[in-house]
Amino acid sequence: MKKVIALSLGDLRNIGRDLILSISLFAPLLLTALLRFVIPVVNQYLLLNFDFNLTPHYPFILSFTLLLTPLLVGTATGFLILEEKDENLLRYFTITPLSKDGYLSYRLLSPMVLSTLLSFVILYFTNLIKINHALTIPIVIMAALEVPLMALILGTFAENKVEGLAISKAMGLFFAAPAVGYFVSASWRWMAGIIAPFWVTEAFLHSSTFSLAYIRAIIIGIVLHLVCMFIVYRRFTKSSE
Amino acid sequence: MIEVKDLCFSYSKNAKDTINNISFKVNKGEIFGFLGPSGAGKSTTQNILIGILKDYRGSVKVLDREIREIQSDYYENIGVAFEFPNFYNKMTALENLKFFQSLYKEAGEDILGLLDMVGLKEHGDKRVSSFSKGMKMRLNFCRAIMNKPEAIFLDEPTSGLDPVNAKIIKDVIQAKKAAGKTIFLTTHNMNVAEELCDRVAFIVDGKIMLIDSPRALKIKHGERSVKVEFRSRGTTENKSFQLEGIGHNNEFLKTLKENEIERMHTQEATLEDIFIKVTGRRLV
Repeated sequence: MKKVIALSLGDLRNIGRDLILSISLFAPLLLTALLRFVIPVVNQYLLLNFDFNLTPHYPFILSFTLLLTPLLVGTATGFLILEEKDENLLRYFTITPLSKDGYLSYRLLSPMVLSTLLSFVILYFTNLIKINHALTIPIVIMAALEVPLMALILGTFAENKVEGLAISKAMGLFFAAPAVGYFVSASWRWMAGIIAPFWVTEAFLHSSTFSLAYIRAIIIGIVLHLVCMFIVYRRFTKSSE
Repeated sequence: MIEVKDLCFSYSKNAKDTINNISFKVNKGEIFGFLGPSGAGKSTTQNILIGILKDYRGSVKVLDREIREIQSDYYENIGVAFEFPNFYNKMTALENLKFFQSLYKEAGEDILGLLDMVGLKEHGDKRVSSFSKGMKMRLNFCRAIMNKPEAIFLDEPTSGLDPVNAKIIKDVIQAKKAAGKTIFLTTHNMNVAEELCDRVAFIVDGKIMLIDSPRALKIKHGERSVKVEFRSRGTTENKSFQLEGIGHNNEFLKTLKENEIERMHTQEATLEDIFIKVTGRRLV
């Protein structure tokens, strides 16, 4: 526990002294406020002026926010890993009582916890739609798996922060998959399902009742996330030896 | 304290052994120097001793524990300074040391005291990103001893340091030895080895060529003679005399009596000369 506190304080320092990292952790909260206070106003405006009702799309908007949180937290974590990789700190942790495994567990699990908490804040505070609590929990956990995935992709494939920035931009493209899933009704929409975030939205859109579609999205989604994570994790530990 | 027996290691199954059947022992309270050119296997050996590389053959025991089987608590009792210091650049020197110290069970050394000792006290609140290489090296050294380790592993501890700071570090290493700590020093700097080490091992191509104390080596490999330089008729001249029976050597005594002596040196070999003679290799 003492180590976790020390590590967390260290992270807070490092994040606090980096503008981009600070912003990326504040962004989910900012987004929450936006959803709660601005979206209803926008809806009113569209309804009055264009006779367009945004309300049916609220679940999709919310599911997107649910994905954005782990993306931001995961990217911030990825940048911390890149900094530590730059300084070869991973090697140093190996020779402390923390150990390499201890460091990696902390580095990947703590932002998952943070992302999960932020997701719950977003879900309940935005108050956009009625939520089925029991069915939402597995979705939030699945979304939290994006965090280590994003972080490891950055940590493995970027050599430095500049490359990291480019890769994090490219990773944003993954989030086209849920949009394809939502806006395309033809059967080729399932092609987007090879990209993990697709299943978070898919599950969320079916989370009002316990259904086959829901359970299918949860199982495929979690398995796919874990498989991707396993592959990237192996590459990461190999590249950091 | 450290006991290595028939150690072999290769980085991959098919590759040639990087470490080829080496054995040595380091006693408690001893400073042991591991000397050799780059690529000789110094760092590999150190990485095995500190448990980074565990896939070795033979036996390696540190603090009576076989390295293959160590758990993370092993690290409570050892300290390591890698050749290239690694810190959180956005944190200050003090924050860095406090952070790393909190990874250990015991409270350890007083950090301000350590910074003071290596002349970094007034820089404690500066971020490490603003540190020079030498300052980082000193901070790196502080970190290696802050958990009061029994065994200390130092890789080129004085590299990048000016003579004054190098002397400070060397003095602390001596003090640690006096306090009964065991120090394993990896270097290709012969002067550091000569000044600090109780015994040195020469390592070339993954093999240990010899292990002995620097003094014994110098006597064994040096010429048993003394060279005298003196002023004579306005010019500097020199003569060499065998050490055997030198007190009865009339020519030697006459030279001392009748001339203004400028320098007098026994012709012992430097550690560097001995290294080249024994291994047929140059350092660096």
